[in-house]
Amino acid sequence: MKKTFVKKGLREIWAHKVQYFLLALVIGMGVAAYSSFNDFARYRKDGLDQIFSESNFMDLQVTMNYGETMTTDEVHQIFEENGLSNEVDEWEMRLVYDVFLKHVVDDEIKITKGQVMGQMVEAGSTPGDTVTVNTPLFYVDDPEGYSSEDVQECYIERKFSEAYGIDPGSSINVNRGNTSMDLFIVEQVAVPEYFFVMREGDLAPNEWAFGVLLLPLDTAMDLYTEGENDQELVNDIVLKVSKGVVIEELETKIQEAFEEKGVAVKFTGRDENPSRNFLISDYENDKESMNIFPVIIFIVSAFALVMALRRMIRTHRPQIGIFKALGIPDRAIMVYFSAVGIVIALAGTVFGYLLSIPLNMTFMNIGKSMLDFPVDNYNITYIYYLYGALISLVLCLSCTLIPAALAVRVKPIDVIQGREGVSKKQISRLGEVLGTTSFLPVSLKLTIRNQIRKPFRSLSTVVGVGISLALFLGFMMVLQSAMVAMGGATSELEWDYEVRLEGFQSQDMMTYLPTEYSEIEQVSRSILIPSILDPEDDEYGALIYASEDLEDIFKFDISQGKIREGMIIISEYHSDRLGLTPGDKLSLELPVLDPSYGYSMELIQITVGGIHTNHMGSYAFMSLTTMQNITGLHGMINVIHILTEADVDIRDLENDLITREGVSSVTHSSENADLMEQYMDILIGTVIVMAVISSILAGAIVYIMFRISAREQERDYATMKTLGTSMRKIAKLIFQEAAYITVLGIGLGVIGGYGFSYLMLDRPEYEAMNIEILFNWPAFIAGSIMISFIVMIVSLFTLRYIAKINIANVIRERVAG
Amino acid sequence: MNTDGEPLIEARNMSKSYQMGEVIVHALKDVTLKVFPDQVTVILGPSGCGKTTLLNQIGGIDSPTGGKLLIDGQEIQDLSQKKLTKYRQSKIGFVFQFFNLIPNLTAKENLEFVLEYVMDLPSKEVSRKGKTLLDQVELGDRGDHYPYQLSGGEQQRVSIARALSKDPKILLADEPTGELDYETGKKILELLVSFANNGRSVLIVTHNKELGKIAHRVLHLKDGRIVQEIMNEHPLSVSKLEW
Repeated sequence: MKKTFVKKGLREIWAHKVQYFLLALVIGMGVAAYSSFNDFARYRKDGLDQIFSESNFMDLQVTMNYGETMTTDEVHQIFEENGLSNEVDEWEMRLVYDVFLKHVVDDEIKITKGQVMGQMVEAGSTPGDTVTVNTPLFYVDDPEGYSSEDVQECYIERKFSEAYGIDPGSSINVNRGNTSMDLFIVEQVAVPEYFFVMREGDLAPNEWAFGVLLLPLDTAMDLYTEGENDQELVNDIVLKVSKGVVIEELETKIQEAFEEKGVAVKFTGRDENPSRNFLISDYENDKESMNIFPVIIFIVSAFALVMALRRMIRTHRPQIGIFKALGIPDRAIMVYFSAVGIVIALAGTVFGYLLSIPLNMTFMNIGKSMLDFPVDNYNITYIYYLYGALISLVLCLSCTLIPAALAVRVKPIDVIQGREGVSKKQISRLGEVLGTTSFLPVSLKLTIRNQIRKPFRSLSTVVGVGISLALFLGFMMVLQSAMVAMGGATSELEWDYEVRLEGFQSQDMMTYLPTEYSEIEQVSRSILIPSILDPEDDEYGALIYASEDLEDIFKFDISQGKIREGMIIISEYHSDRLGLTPGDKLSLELPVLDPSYGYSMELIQITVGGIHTNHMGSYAFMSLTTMQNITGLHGMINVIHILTEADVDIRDLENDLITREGVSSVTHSSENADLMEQYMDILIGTVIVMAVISSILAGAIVYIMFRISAREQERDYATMKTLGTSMRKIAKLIFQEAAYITVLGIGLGVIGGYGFSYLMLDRPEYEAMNIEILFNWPAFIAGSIMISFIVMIVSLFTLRYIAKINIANVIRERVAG
Repeated sequence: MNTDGEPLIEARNMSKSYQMGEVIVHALKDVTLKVFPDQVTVILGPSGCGKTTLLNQIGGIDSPTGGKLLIDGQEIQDLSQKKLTKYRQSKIGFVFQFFNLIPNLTAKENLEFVLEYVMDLPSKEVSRKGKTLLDQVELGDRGDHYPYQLSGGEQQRVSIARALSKDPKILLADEPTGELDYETGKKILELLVSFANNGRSVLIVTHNKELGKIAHRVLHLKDGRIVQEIMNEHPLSVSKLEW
């Protein structure tokens, strides 16, 4: 008996193969999205684990402050005398210092800030052979080693090398102070501290602004000491601590041990490394966002599946009644429906696996360009594909069995005699609802009542159309809103150059610049300090800009209050979160300079002077004198903003600024435009992918629903044709219904698009950015045209189906229910 | 009864075959018949004899595969789908066994659908004619009810009113009383028979031999052939009919 029912199920699928094929395709998209997205996330996670494991990434970095160095023997001695060697498994001493890298870009000399890492490596070997902590990773299997101690060679960090096309085999000019050295580039490497090129204070990776070179310690010393010192000097130690050692306690011991020798040190923990931090948080956030897609697709699939199976079950109700009358148990009848569910699930899984091939390839390419690590671990994780298949099976079975279970509850006699139907109460209510459309022309009445009488079917179609548009529109809105916010944030910066200094320096250090460069209009001195607002209760991070010419270097949009001496301007974001208005007191953590003890972090109370609505919600502002008075940094600054005339020769000024003593970095505002250009490239690629996904989804759902609708109304159409209704007039009914669905679907798509945008932007990294969700008209128009076109094509298919209806057969069928 | 003039329906050696799997089924074989205006014709025969197939050919919802079929002097066997639609619209009224009303429209709206959407009548006339037709089938007070709110007999009366709304020359009724009780069935037959005047004809397909008594002409079909044709000079009044 069960075999017979399974065969019947398969025959049902074959009879409506296109509809079930599309249903399986939609489920397949869900399976593919789930499997590939998770696999990609796993690939990224494995990649991260692998690079940090293969490079034996440090637990702790100890850096000597204020340009101090020690000989390797001295460091060894400190470790031995203080028992530190027992608490450390492995450690590496390096000489790390900043340099200027001179290279050619567009036939012009460009000077980029860089870093040299002198490592204890012998001639003939590579840093990968002998460096045990933060071991550089190579992109080639058999990298070249240093040829001899006499030849000046280096390894170059890959991203910087790629950014400027500085290839192995060429040379790069390295400058420190008055010493210059040409280094032959042996190979490209991945430097563990800079798997993404980020330094402290950077908001995003920037391989254009910073290059890292690895050299033998001797060569590094030649440049550092101008060849005047033959002792091995180091200023940086990276170490792996022994099991069970408490890092904080070790830090205290190291600090005391070094201070005893008159050297101040600072620590960077494993998780404080900016590059590592960025990689991990980026991975975690993306993983969270990507999970939204399969969930949405599975929801749409479930809607379509329930609709298709409800229709199938409705068609088979008289049969169910007969089977029940013949004494066939409910379980056996349900096997029939389960067979349909299982076949769709299996077909969906197969489609999913097939679709995951191009998806995986796409991700692999994205992965390779985005995460250019010297590890290749893009292999399939079968468990996600198995889970994808299981989700598909559970989804299909539950969507099948629930309507089937309801169907087998009917009384056989009611079904056989066609006595099923709505109750009197329902009839009365339905009559009232349908009656509200009685003023309409008859064709519109039919269209609207058809939707009212089959709300679930209508809702599913509208939801299918709506979600497809929402996906497309939402994504475009997120991108546009983010771009506009970024553009807005950029336009709020009136400065042309931001020059960050190494530590705090005298505020008079660059006052001479306008006299040297006539193109410079204004030099504004600032203090930039990251701080924590309300650290005792809420703890909100903020970047405080204190400048002497605030309104010249930033464009302000102040909604409440104004800039006042002795007060702070906070963002709307902080004002909302902390419940502060102008006049309220705010506590914030700032370094305070005590001439006797140096810096100490202290809690400062300050009055809120105003609220700004600028795009960077993490920014707070005050005047330079206010900051100097609070912190005791009288006459000190750490940032200089430069305003220039429009046609200034940027490269000359840039090269000049970057090489000035005490300058840490020079950023030109045009670099933001480059970043925007990169986002545009991503945008175009994303739009194409989203358009394809949305079209397939919309096409499949609309086709399934319209076909179900046409089948449900087959008898009505056959009757209309018998009565002499022309195909042109039937087409009018079909297109009216299509237009009705499209309009509602587009409406839902707009709401969904907004919802989707909020969902995507509701992430910690966007929270502090004042991103206003913008409606993307071009995307809306393009999406609506795309959806309308799909609906029109499907309507033409439906019309073809209706034209082929065998009137004679259909009108003689008995109506059940 | 007028049998001297031009027949309204004339079939000459008409046949209909169709493929069913690997078998060719000959549903109608060499059927020749004439139906004249003002006549009620009843087609009798057991299930599967080809009654409905014959009705479908005349109604233009199916086309014969052989012979000729002339309706009101026009050959219809080779008409395009578009012309067949026009033909059904202008000349044929259908009454079905299972009523086939459009469920989303009230009784009155089912009539208005034909008047407004099929016949393209102006809205005033649609309303007036719809009301007249409902009164004619004694459903003037049930016009705002949906099909699922009407009894079987009421639905069939709406179906007849809908068929009449096009003012067709030929009214085709396929087992019109099959789903109805005796009394209701008689009322429906009265309505159908009353249509056969002013040059119009009614064709009723049924397996109920007793209905033959109310017809001017009775055709007996067996295995797709007309095996007997009985002329009835004085058909029985429907009120006297019993079955």
